[in-house]
Amino acid sequence: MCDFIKPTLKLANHLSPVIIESMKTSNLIGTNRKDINNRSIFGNTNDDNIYLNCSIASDASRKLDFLILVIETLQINATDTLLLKAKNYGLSDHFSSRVHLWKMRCSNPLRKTHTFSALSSEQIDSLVELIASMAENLYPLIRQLLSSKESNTLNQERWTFFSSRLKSLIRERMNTQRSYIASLLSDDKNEFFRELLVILSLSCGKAGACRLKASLYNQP
Amino acid sequence: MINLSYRFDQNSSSLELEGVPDVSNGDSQDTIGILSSWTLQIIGSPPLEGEKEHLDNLMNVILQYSRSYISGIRKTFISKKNIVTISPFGCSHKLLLNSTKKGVNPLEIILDDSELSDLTRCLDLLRFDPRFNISWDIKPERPYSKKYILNNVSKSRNNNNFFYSLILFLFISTILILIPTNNKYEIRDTTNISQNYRN
Repeated sequence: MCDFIKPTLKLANHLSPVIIESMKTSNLIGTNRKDINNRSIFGNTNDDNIYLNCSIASDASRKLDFLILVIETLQINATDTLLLKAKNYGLSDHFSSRVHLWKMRCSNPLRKTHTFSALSSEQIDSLVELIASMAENLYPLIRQLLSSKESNTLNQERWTFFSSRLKSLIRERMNTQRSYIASLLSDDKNEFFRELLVILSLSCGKAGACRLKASLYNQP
Repeated sequence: MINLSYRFDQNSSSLELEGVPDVSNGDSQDTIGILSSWTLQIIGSPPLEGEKEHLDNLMNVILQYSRSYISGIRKTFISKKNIVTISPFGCSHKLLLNSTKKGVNPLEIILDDSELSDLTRCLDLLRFDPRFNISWDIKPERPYSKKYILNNVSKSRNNNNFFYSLILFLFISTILILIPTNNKYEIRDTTNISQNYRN
């Protein structure tokens, strides 16, 4: 996962007793991290009791569906990758086939085929885990779209391509008669799409999964 | 004793930490238990250095800001002793760092969304890295209450449809009230006519 971290070993310039003494006086001593072994996979931390009294946010299913839609925009055949990842993570119960994934996504009330069902917390956890993992893979692309330091023409071209593809997917799957969807399709500033990309960029990896999960729940 | 150094690189941000294992705590040879120094390099700004307390403050503020940003909330976060401040700055984000040394001007760094996510990822990687046996003084991610979200969500994102519909209703009502009506209009009694027909 962290293949870009390059550990380097250096010989200390000072004698060890001096370092330890000076660190103690400068308040740099780190205490033992107790939670280190409890954090095993994405989103499952020892802070799970935080969510005990929390309710699932009303826009959770909508948000998750749109995030997967953005992932599909950035990567062709993203659904296959999602299902493969689910298999690798041992989430086959919820993702045994495309139909199961489609049924989960149909909890989004803005879809043409809305099923009037709500996502369970287990389903949300597994979707968050997959989205975080996919976002990590697609991070270079997401970053390119969010960056303001690159040339305007190149950025504009990328955004035109991205927004047109995302809009075509929205037209294909969402209920275009709803005013919200109509406003998304007519919005040239792509503010909502940018928000989705920001969410994806901040949802990368294990910590990102925790962050995304927290945003899908409401405290009482 | 071996001085360990680990680096986290994320496009525009690079965080390097140096330290030694805390032997008294049973750390292995490749685990940093005592942090001696850290350096954060953000492209386009001078390198940042400090003590663990400063890194704690930076992590706390950046991670809290990212947590709120993912929920669509853009608000200012200030660390203890005002060392680190991050606030929305147009479409970007302004990171303000006050030095604890006297006579040093505060450093202002403007980050766009991609740079903010780079920095957040760097700090995330550090936070969950098993090679560090250091307890970071940071708050865990918690869900917000509905009230908090409604109170803090940016004004531009507020749904103004209700407000607009109210204005439209009042405007149309005012126009309808102002239209003069014909008060001299007489209602004819149609019963007599029908009786005549019968006759």
